[in-house]
Amino acid sequence: MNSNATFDVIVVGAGHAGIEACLAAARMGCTTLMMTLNLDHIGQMSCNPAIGGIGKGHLVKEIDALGGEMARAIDETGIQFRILNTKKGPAVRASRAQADKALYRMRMKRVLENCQGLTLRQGSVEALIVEEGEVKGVETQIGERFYGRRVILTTGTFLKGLIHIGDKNYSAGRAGDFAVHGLSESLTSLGFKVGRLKTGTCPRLDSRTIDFSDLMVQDGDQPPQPFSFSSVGVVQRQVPCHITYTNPRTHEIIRSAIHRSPMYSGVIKSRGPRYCPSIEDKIHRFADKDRHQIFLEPEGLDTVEVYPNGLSTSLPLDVQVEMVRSIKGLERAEIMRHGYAIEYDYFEPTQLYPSLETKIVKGLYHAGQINGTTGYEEAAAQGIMAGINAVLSLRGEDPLIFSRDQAYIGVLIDDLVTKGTDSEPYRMFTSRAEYRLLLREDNADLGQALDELQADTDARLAGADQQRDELAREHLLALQENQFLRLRMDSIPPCTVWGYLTYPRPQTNPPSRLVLVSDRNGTVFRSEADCDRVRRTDRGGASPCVCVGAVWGP
Amino acid sequence: MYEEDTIAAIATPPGEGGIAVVRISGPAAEKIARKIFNRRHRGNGALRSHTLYRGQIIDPKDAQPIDEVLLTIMRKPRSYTGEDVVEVHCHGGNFLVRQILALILSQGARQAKPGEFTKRAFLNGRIDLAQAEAVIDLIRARTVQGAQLALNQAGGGLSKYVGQLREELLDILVQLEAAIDFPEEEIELLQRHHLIAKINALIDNINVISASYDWGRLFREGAKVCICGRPNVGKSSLMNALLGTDRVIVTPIPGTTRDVIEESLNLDGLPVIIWDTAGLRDSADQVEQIGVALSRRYLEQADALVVVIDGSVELTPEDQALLLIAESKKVVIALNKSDLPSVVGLQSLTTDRSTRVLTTSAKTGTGIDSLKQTLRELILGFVTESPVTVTNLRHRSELQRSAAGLIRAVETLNQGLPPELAAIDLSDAREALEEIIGVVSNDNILERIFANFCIGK
Repeated sequence: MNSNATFDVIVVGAGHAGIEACLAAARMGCTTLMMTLNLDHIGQMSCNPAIGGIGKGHLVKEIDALGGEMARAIDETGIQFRILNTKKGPAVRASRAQADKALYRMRMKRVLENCQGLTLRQGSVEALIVEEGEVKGVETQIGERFYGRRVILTTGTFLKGLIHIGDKNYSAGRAGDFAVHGLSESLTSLGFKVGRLKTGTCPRLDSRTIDFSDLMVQDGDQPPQPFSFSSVGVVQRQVPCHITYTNPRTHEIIRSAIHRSPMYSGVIKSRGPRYCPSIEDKIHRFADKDRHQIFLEPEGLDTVEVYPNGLSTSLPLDVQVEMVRSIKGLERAEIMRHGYAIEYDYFEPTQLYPSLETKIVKGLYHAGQINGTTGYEEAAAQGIMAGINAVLSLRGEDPLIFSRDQAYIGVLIDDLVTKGTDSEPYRMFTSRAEYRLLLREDNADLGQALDELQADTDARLAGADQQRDELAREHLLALQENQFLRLRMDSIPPCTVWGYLTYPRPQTNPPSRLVLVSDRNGTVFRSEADCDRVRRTDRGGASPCVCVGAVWGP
Repeated sequence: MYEEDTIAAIATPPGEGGIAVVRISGPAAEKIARKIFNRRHRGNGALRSHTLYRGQIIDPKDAQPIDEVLLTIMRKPRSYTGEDVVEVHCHGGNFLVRQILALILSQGARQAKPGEFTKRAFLNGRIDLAQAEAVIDLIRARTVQGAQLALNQAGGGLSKYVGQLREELLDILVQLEAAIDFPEEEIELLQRHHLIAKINALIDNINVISASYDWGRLFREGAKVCICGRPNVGKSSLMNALLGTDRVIVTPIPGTTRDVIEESLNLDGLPVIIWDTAGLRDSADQVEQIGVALSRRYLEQADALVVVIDGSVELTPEDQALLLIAESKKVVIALNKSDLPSVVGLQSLTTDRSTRVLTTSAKTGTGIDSLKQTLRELILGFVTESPVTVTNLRHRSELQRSAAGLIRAVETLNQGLPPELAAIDLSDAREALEEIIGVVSNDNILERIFANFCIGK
C-alpha cells in the first residue's frame, strides 16, 4: 500500500456520517480517503432497519438538499414508506422508511467505489498525526501512515466499544466488529475531554419461527412517497410490518431477572438515552403499564431476520429467550442474534466550532456519534457538514453554518457546540426547533439550494427548468446575505396564514410577496419576529427546548 | 460561571459618615486586598473567609498608612456576586474613601458600572432577574410594607410563584410536544378539553397575581396624591396638618402657593407622595398662571385627589368647576375650616354616592386622621387576595402577555387546529413568564434594568 500518499481529506469511519463526509469532500473536488475497519460493513445499520421519523425525516431532506446520499439511498432500497403525523400540520409531518439493510449497504458501497477522487482503504486507525496543533494524517494499527490536510473522525460506537449482555462483556465496536482503542488515547493525550455513553439494540428473530397470523398488520402508504427531491419513485417491493405487545408475564420475567441486567447491577455506569430505553428500563420506570408495543420490522427482502423494535435489552441470553417467547406471535421464536448494550467513548461537542472543526486540533473534524449523538440521520447530517466545511476551509472560504431558523441541521449543530450532550445521547426532535413551523420537509430543498458548492456532481438543477434555476440562484444570494427566511416567505404566492401552513409544495413560480391575511393572529409573523430577535442576541442564548424525553412513556 | 475582570466601587452613599464601605468583586479581589491591607501586628498573612479583620490600608508604593479599617473577604461562591468579594469598612470621609478606591483601582480593579455587582450576582446565578430588580426596590423602599414586599421579591417569593406557573405551563406544553414528536408511541395524553381546562386554570392564576399590581405598585412607587382647590381654602394648612409639620408657608393671602410642593407621607405603611398645588383660578399674575397650569398637570398625574372646599362660605363657580374635573378621578372632598360656622352642607356635595366627603379643620386638626384613613382606603381600593404581590410594571406586562398567549392557545385548541399551532401560543406564554425571572436572558432588557442601579449596590 502506498503509505506516502497525501490526501486533501481523510475520513475515518464508513458509517452514515463517514459516507456523507467523504462523498461531500470528493464531489467538491478534493482527493479523499475513507478509512474503514471493514469494507464489507460500509453503511451498516447497526440498530433498527429504518431511516427517518419525526425530526429525523427533516434532517434527511436537508441532507438531500445539500446533495447528500442518504435520501436517494433509502428511496432505492426502502421496503416500506410512511408519512407520520398526517393528522397534524405540514410542518411536523415526517417521512419514515424501512430499509433492506443489505441492499442499503451495497448501494452505499457502490456509490463510494464509483465516486471520482475517493479512495477506500481497510484498516484500523489508531493514532492521529499532529504537528504544532495541526492535523497531518492518521496511522493504522500496523504502522501504515496516511497524510491528509484535513481529517474527519466519524468513529460511531467503536472507540473503546464494550458490549454487555448480562454479566458478560467483551470489547467490540458493535456485534461482529472489532473496537478501536488507540485512537481514543491519542485524542485524550492531545487534550480532548472524553466521556462515555451507552446505547443498546434488540435481539434479531427468525421470521420463519414467528406466527404472524394473529398480529396486527401495519402497511406502508399507498403510493409510497420517496424522500429525495430528485428521486423518480420507490423501486423495491413493499412489505408490511407487524405489531405485537408485551404482557404481564413478559414483565414478570424481566422483573425477576432485573438484577442480572448490567444496567441495574451497576456494571454499566453511563446513562442511556431516555427516549430509546431498553425493555427492562420501561418496565422498571413505568411499572403500572401492563403492555408495551413491539413493532416487528423485516431487516430486508432476502433475509429472514426480523427486528423487534421496542425490545432493546442487555439481559442475559436465557432471559432474552424466555422474554421473547412470552410475547404473542413469538411463542416459538428463535433468536438469531442477541440484543446487547454497548458503552463507548465520545468527546464533548462543546470542544468543536460550529463548522465541526475541533478547537484543539486545527484541521480535525468530528461528526456523528463521536459527538454524543444517536441516530443514522443525525450522524449523516453532521457528516455532510464536516465534509463541506473541511473543503471550504481548504479553499480558504468561510464555513457553511446554518442558523436555527434555517434548518434542523442548524438546530442540531448549534445545540451540540453550545450546550453539549449533557451525558445523554442527543437525538433530534421537532420541539428542539424554535421555528418549527418554518422548517418543513417539503421546503427543505428550496431553503438550501447549495449546488454552487458542487456538493452534488449530478447537477440536479441542470435538468430543471430555467425558472427554477433562477430561484435557486436567488436563494444562494439570500444565503450569502443571511436573508433566508424572508425569501422563503416571499417565494410563495399570497395566501392566508393557514394557507401557508398547509401549502403542499413550494412554488416554482417567480417569487411574489407573501401577504398574510388571516384570523389566525399572525402565527407566522410571530415566528419571524422571534427569528430576528435571536439573530440579534447571542446564538447561545436561544431558549432551551422542552425535554419531552422526560415525560415520554414507553 | 460568569467571571471576567475585577470591579470595585464605593458602596455607601456620598457625603461624610461614620464609616464607608468600599466593595471589590472578582478573581483579583483577594490579591488586591492583600497588597493594600496590613493586619495589625501580623502583616498580610492568610485571611479566612467571612471574618472581620482589623488593620491598616497602606499604599504599597511607600507603605504609607492611609486609614485604620475593618476588612472582610467573602470567597466564592458564598458572596453577593458569587465571586470573591472584599469589603473595606473605612472611616467615612469623602476624600478618604475616594483615596482608598483610587488605590484599589491602581492595583488592577476597574470602577464598577451602575448595578454591576447585582448584574454579576444575576449572571453567576446567585439571584434571578426578578430578585435583582427587587434589590433596588428594597433600597428605595419608603415604608415598612414597601420594604417587605421588596424583601419578599428579593428573597425569591415572586420568582418561586412564577416558576411554579412556568412548571404548570411546561406540563401542558409537554403534552402537545409529546403528541407531535411521538405519534407512533402508545402514550396517554390528556384530551383536548382537559388541556383547555388546565390552560384556563393557569390563566386565572396569572390574572390574580397580575391584578395585584393595581395596588402592589403603589407600595413600590408611592401613591401620588394631589391637594387641589381654589385659592385660600386651606390647602397648604391641610398639607401641613397631614405632615404634622409647618412645611408650607401659610398666609391669608390668596395665591401664596405658586410652585408645587412635594412631600412624602406614610399612610399606615402606604408610601404617599403628596403635592400641594397653587389654587386654581384665572389670574392675571403671570407667575401665578404658571403655577395654576402646573397644578392642572399634577392633578392629572395623581392617583387620588384631595379637593379642598371652604365649608364656611358658599360654593363658588370655581369650586363647581373643580368638582367636575375631579369626577374622573379617585377623590376625597375635604370640607375644610370646620372650626368656622358651616355654610356648605354635606348633603349638597354628595351628588355621587361613591364620592367621599369629610369635614376637616386644618387649624384644629379635626378630621385629619379620618382623612388619612379614607385616603388610604380610596387609593388602595379593593385589595385582591393574591399569593404574591406584583409591584413592577415590567412583571405585569409580561404576565399580561403570558395570559394573552394562553388565551390564544385555548382559541387554537377550540378551533380544532393542530397542536403545533397551540404550542406556538403556549411558547409565547412561557417566554413571557421566563422574561420575569430571566430564564431566557435578553441583553436589551438586562442592560436597562441594571442601568437603574446606583453604583456599588
